[in-house]
Amino acid sequence: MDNTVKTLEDFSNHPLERVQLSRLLQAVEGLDKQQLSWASGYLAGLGVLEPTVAKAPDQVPGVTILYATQGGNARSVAEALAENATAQGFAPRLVSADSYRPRDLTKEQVLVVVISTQGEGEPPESAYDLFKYLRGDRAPRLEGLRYAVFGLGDSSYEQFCQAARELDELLGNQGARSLLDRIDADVEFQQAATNWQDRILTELGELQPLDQARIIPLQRESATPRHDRNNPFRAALLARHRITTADAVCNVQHISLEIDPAVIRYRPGDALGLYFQNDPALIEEMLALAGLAAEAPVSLDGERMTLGQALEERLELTQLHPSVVKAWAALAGDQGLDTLSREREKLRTFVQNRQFVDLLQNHPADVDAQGLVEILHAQQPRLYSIASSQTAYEDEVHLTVAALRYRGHGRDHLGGASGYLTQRISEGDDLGVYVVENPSFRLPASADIPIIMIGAGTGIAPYRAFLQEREALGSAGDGWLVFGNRHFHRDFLYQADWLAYRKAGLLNRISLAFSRDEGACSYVQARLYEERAELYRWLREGAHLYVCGGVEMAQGVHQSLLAIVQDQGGLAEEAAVEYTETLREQGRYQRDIY
Amino acid sequence: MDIKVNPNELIKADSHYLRGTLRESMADQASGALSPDDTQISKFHGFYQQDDRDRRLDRRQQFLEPYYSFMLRARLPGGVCTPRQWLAIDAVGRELGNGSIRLTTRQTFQYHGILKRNLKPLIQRINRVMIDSIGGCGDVNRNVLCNPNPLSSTLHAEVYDWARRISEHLLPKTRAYHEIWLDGEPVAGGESEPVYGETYLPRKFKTALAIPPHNDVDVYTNDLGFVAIAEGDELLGFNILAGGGMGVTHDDYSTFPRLADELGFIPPQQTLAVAEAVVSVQRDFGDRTSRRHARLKYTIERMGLATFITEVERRAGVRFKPSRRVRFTSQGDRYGWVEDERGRWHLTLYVENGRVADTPDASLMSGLREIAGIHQGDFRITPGQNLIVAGVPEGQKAIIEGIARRHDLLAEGRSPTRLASIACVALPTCPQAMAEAERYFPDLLETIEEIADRHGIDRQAIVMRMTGCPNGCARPYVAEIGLVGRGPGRYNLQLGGDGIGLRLNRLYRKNLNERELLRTLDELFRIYAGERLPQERFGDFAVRRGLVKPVIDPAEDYHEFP
Repeated sequence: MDNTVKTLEDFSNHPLERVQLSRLLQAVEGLDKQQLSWASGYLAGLGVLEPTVAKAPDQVPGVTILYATQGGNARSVAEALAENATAQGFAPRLVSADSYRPRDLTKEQVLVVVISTQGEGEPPESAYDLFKYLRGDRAPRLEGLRYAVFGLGDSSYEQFCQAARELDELLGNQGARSLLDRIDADVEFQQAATNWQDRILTELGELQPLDQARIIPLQRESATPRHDRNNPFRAALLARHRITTADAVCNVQHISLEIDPAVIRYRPGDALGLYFQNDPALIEEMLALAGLAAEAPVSLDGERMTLGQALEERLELTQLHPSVVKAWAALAGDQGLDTLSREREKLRTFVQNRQFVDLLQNHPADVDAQGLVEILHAQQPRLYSIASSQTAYEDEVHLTVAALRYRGHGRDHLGGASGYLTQRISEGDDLGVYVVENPSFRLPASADIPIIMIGAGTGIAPYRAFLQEREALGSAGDGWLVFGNRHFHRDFLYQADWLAYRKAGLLNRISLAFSRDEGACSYVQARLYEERAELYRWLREGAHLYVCGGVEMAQGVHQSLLAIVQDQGGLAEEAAVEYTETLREQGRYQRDIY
Repeated sequence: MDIKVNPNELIKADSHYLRGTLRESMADQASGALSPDDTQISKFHGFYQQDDRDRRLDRRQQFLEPYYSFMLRARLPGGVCTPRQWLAIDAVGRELGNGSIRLTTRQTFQYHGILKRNLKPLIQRINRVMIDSIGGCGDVNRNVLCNPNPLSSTLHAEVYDWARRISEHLLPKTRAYHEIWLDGEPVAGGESEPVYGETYLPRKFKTALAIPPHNDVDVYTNDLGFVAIAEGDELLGFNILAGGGMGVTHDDYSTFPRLADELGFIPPQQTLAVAEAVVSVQRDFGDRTSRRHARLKYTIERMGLATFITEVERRAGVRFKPSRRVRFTSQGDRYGWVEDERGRWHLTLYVENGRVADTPDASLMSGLREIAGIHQGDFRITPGQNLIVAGVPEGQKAIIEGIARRHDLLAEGRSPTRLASIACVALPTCPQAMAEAERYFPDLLETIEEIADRHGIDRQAIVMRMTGCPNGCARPYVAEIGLVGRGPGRYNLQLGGDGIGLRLNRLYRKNLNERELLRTLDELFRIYAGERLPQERFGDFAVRRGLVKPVIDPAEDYHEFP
């Protein structure tokens, strides 16, 4: 039937680009009434959902100009190109390799790279991550990518422009198609750069019409499976690496996990619950002490499996629960242990620095495989504050994990989850995770409200999420970070991030307490008190105050806060308590204590 | 015309006479670094920001900023210090630096690995023994060199005194250093820099005083040189030299090393006037658009020597007399004991690459401390990065020699080439370094010594100098063999210095790795051993044999490559 397709001129004031309108008209051509009616509903629905895809233009940059520079030449070539491209009406994204997230390659349409080469053919340090990623097994296919590479080098070296050559090859291997042949420019590179730039701009001009046809993806309709502790999502490890120096007391690692953003949603302040695999060495030791075989069949929650499997994935081995001690004391017929397990406080202290293996070793008992399975508890998931914002990293979750280690009762003890996450898990392994919402640890509703973030050690993690979020949202609120750890040079966690946020204007103040540095302020609560006038000023200006960390530190900060309010506000102790209570009620004093 | 001044000029101009925002940078606890602009200003205060390049990659992965620390270089005209000062220098290095002290090719000492929070205490500590670091780096007159071990102590005292006075005269007059580091009162009202003006010089400026026949200061490689003319112990005046300089940029043919020109002779009383005039001509005529071309050597090339001399004469109010004839015979240090005309003894110790430290294998630092504890004369740091124990009475000779021997501070037992050679600091601390130097050179030399031994030329000293970049801190372009770093493990090989610092060498082979370098030297030594004339030095041989053409006019012919 001849339906209502019209020419452009029939629509006055339509908000569409010419090409968009013509595509729309093409799309609806030939549809019948019912189909049109459905399509109109569909389109209206897309409009309602618009806010969630509002970032689309940013996420799909037309042209990215990436540079990896050694002495600044690559950068200047890239900048000149970006400038000229912009002048010609393109909207290129200019980015240095060290600020570029390699995983974003899959989202690129056109990638233009300017890269120099170091002495023996190595890429510049700033491109380290990019190369590592592309050389690795997990490099993605890049069929949709068009790219061009401009290499800078010195032909007196055997490995002339090696980095550019390798990058060209790596991108090609992954299926990306080159827009222009690679240029290997020598020490005198200017002319080559100018010629190349002209050719790039010509090529881009030809690609442009394609580029304009951005298609908004369909929303998924399927019912979202909810993931919780009973139904964890299998998240793969993207990367982990130590973020404290080798001479730091504590091994703290930055862990990034891959998640499916369609089913895992989290907000800054939330925690991630996770399950882990127990240490095979620990299991071996336990089996030897108990005289049991890993292959012994057992039944757990009605499932048949081997004892080894049960110990590795299902049972709690590292956090010793008092009730387990009690049960074990009865089984072992151990008089001393039995007496102790009747005294609650003593028992609490007893379990604090012991694992089940200590019972096996020091209070032996006869137990068979099934008996062991039944006496042990099911593995408890562990919670970690999330150190990333999903607005910034849609399909990732970052964690900040300190390896728990202690010596006692004649052996080394390693934390269950922290040991797994920092020592044993490797890239590509997956683990069960779920989001634990933390509604009482939230950024202020308004992005303009100042925030004071106080944390010690890994308690700094949620603030990384906070600032990522504020950066992604373009927030204007002031920020103040108060952080404590041992050594400035060794364990100033995420220092580079904080400095970058300060540069970007998201952090206005950074106050530090390093307890083991000579002449430095020892603890965050002391540092806070030193800066009490400023703190009180911020509070009076409506700042929200956050505290994240261990109980002791949180108590110290609280005492400090009371003292500050008394000193600066001239309040009596009772009034100061009331003041902090009011802050809490207003949601301006939020704590995440563990 | 589209000419922009280079960004450093704006930073200087905005610095309010070298204050910048150093106070704020020092107060910032969140970073071990200074603000970018302050890293330029800090140089005038004697210190450079560096970072441990070996740790960069790890720390980036760790979300940590680079491991920043600072190198602070003192001002020590002529390299002279007292034992009391040495003890303080030593203690500060152990307590506030990285545990070592470097003696530099400009006769001063520098500390590496100073953390930001230790800078101010360190400056205050050396200030207590009357040592400062003003102009240790930066676009001003740097530490003034002076031959430390002449035949006559009377003459040395007089020439050294001029070195000190030149250094004082060309010191920036701003109170910034005193205010920021020594808690001096801020100056009320206006301030001025009578010699420099508020943008100081376009580039660093180096001054040296030589006492013939020793050219250990490499006087021709300095922006401004004074060659002492004496009759017996009496100083008659100086031949003035200007426009020397080492720094080159790889593959930029508009840059070149250059030996200074002779301007003429002046009597001693005109010394300060001439020094100031040369500085002020460079201040007004030097290139402020490109730091690569900002040294005085390029200014003179541009102005023409005659115009330059006329301008200096006009500003100083002097007329140069014709230069006196001088003869130089050596470029390196004279090791061991020397007696002066007053019966005092001077012992030149050997400090490899100027590195004063205690290591599991050596106890140089302890040894020098022990000597300082009993020594009654003074110490002199040499331009060859060594140390002279000067003014020792006959009665103390044996004790001091005993300590020196015990701590392996004597030259004996080392090859003449090793004793004649120097290397700069380079990796991992120097931000300019492209290749290794100080921590690699001693081992490389061992292999080179074996080659020399094999060819039977091991008794011949060859002045060999290695730098990690082309800027030339170890003055590699006047060495008989210069090794200039280009990239990790890669060096340019320069040949043809004359061993007394009066002739530039020339590029012979580009970008050699160790294997290629050793093979090349093996071949060169073989030819030299077979064809040299009696007493002929290696550098002279290289030129006579046509291995390299001598450099006549570096601005024109330096980059001719065989």
